[in-house]
Amino acid sequence: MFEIDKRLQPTELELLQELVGSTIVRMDAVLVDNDNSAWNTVRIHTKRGAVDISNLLEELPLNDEGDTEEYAVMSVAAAPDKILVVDAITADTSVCFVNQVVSGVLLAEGRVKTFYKGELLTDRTYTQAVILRLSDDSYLVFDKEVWFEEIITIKQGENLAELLYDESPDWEDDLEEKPDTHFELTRALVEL
Amino acid sequence: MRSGNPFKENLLDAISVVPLKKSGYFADPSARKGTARNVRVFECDDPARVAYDFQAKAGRNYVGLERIKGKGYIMTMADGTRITYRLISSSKDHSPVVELKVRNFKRVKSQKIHFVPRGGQCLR
Repeated sequence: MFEIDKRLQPTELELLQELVGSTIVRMDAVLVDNDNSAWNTVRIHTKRGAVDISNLLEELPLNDEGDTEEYAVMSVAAAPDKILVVDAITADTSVCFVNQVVSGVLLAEGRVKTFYKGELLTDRTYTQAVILRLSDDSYLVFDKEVWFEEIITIKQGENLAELLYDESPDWEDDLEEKPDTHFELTRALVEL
Repeated sequence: MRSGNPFKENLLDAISVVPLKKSGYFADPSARKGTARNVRVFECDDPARVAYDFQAKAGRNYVGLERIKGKGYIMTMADGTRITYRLISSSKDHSPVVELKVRNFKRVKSQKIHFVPRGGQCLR
């Protein structure tokens, strides 16, 4: 059985905690759809510095037969306080001015247990979304949505439950095509 | 942004290349132990040509296209559905892949489709 923990690590959490009380001046992202879908990285600029929230494909164990699968995994890193450049894709960088104070940081953490013929194959935990609560009580959400895309969907609003991506269809059992496989999906909201 | 087709308008043409199951998934499930039901495999004689044909039909009259340098491209449809075409994937056999992130159309689910040679090994 493989236990795979791809949640944000303590040093990454510290970077996010440092955002509390700071003003988000602007966000940079390379949008793939002229809307709110960023290719792999969003850079958040505050008056104190910048932080990158990224979502990149990583090969993770799938089963006990040596198979692997590529999953998008979120990470956070300190960034230079200059405009984001993403070489992998041809779109230009878009800049969005925010000018809002961060009053809190939350994480949506997912957990998928995969069973095969009743035996636990993998127990995988991961960060599904980074959520910034703003001083106007709205939420700014950086959501990786479907597990196989290197995309961060940026959303803002007041109803957090409505903003977060519903992963449950991605992890449904299929009694007809894959009767031996069973998934259990849970989600937790954690405030830093 | 120019006007274009929502994904559902291209569905019949896409189905002419890869069959769609009543579950909302194309092709067949990956036989690898532990894969999610939205990982799909289509066995065919010419994976590169068939994958190209499928994404061309599924993405006909897109509203936006961005290239993933050296790897493929992402098409956005008028309904917000996103179709990512990778000529060479990062999987073991480097098979072509088409990913669908479907919006506003319940008949088809979000999924990742690998195109492999008949009797394909790594994605059996």
